[in-house]
Amino acid sequence: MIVDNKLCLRWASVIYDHYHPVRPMQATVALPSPAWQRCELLSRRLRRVSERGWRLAAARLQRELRELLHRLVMDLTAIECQFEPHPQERLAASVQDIHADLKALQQEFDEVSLDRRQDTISVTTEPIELDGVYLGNFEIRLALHELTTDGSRRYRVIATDPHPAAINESVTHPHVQDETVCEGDGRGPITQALSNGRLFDFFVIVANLLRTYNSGSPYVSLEDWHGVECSDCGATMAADDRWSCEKCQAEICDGCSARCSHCDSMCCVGCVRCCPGCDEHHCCECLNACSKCESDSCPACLDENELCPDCQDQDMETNDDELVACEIDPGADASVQPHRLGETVVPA
Amino acid sequence: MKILLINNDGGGYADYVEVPDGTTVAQLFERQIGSSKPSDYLIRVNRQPCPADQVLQDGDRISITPTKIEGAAR
Repeated sequence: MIVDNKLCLRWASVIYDHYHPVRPMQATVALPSPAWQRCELLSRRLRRVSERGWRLAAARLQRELRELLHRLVMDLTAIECQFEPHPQERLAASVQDIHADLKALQQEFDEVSLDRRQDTISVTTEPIELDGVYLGNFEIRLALHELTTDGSRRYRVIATDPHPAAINESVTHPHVQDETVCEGDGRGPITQALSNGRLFDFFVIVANLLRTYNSGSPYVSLEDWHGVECSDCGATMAADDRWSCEKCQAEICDGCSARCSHCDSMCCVGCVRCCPGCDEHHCCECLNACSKCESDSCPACLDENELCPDCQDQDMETNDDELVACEIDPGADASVQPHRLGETVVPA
Repeated sequence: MKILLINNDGGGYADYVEVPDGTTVAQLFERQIGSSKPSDYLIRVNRQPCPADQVLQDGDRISITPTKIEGAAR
């Protein structure tokens, strides 16, 4: 939008008023009139005594007049100080400066918008792409009613063609969340530019910040901008919630991961099985086949003969049966023979 | 002569400074920024793009803004 010169001037005046609110004027100024009148009187008397040749009186009047003039100068300086501008206003932009800023913004940005109803001024950047990730255009919108010389800020960075991070829609730029930019290194220059009313500098600094990627401190890194799909359930996951299976290297989400109870490695669902003996998850490498039934069991559940709990139970049952059979039919050992009922077997 | 120098590198310093007559944009940049490359900065004289050998005039407004300004997350 090309803003005509007249409108620019009007806006410059409005913005200037935001920076220079009307202060209550000092109703009366106490000028040192009595001291001045006394100076005039002394001056007249000095002229008279000089004309008459009274040198001693003239010297005394001169001394008195000098002291009075000195005090008068001090009084006038004190009054002048009351009209000095505030130190913060020394560098504050004039109407002409603000007007020049508004004109320059139209050369720097394709879109400049002045909204009187919302009392905002905004510029729109070109489409921004960082490290191959397309983020779209951004509107930098400054609310004029919040402008103050103390540098406090109220501006928003709005994605007009949003391409937010897959894992967080409120993050439209690595350094913008909920339309608020985290200024980082730009904080000082932005504060100074706003407090001095340098609108051109303010918009250029914020735009340059949006054109820069700081990989050390993003809300969402560009590497994870489009998110990563879990290879098990297909959900989009953030970098912090992502696991890599230590057996097959598949990218999995937190919900699809399981830890081996024996070696403590993190695995995907396909690389772990439940041990039938203890019902704990174990990775394929930690499970061993039973020497009898060849079903998988964890090392803790296999005995010294590499038998799974089921086979161990079966073996015990078999052994018990054999023992019972032995007790019922002691066999062919003739050296152990009970003689009659009630007698016990005693080895010969 | 006196010029308004706005250095948006670092703290965003802006003030009126004295420079010798005949000072060019390149000389002022070297004095203020040092060994950094001018191509890493947006240099404007009275808000307009300018050649490096442009001679500064009394009352000029010179702004030096880095093209790369790193934001953060918090």
